[in-house]
Amino acid sequence: MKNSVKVRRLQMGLSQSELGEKVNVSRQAINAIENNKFDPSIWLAYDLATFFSCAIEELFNFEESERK
Amino acid sequence: MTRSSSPYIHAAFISIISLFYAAIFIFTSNHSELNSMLANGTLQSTIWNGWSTFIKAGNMRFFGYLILLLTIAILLTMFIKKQRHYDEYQLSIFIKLLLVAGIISIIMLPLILFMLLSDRNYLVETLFLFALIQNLGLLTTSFFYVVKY
Repeated sequence: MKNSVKVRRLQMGLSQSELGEKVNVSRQAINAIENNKFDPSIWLAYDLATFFSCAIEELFNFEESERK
Repeated sequence: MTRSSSPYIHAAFISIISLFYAAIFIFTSNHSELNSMLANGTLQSTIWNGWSTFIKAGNMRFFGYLILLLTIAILLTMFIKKQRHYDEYQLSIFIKLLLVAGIISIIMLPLILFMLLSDRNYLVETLFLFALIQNLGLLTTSFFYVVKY
C-alpha cells in the first residue's frame, strides 16, 4: 500500500532500524512497508500513525492503492 | 503476540521433522528389508537404476547426516540471534514458506498413489527422492530464513 512512512521517517532523522524499534517490528518489516511490498496489520498501522502523530489515512494512501 | 510467532515453535517444528527424516535415512541404510523392496533394474533408465543402486549401497545415511547438520546450523543461528519473537512481516514470510512445503506435499500424495496403482517399480526410490527433496528444500529455505530474519 502506498504510504508516506519513508518521508516522515526521514523528516524525523530516523533509520529503518530505529523506527522498527519504536513500533516493535524488524528493520525488514519497515523496509517492506516503505517499498509497498507488505501491508501492515491495522495494529501496526495504528502504532505507526500514533508514532508520527497523524491519522492512519494520512499515513497510508488508501485511495491510490489497490484494494485486496 | 501469538504463540505461533515464537522462534521456539519454529525450532521445535524443524527439529521434530528433521529427526524423523534423518532417523529413517540413517537407520534404513543397508537394511536388508529395505534393499529387498527396491527395484531390480526393471527399467532401462540410467537415472532410476543409479538412484536405486545409490540407496542400496546405504548412502542415504549421508543425507541423514546432512539433514542433522543443517538442523544444527539452523538452531545455532536461532540461538546466536536470540530473537524473542517474529514480527508480522517475518511471520508472513514464514507462512509462505510452509505453504510451499504444504503444496508440494499435496501434489506428492496423488502422484505417489498414481504410481502405486499403475506401476509399483521404483516406488520406494520415488518416495525416498520426494522425501529428500521436500525435507532438504524445507531445511535450506529455513536456514536462509533464520539467517536473513
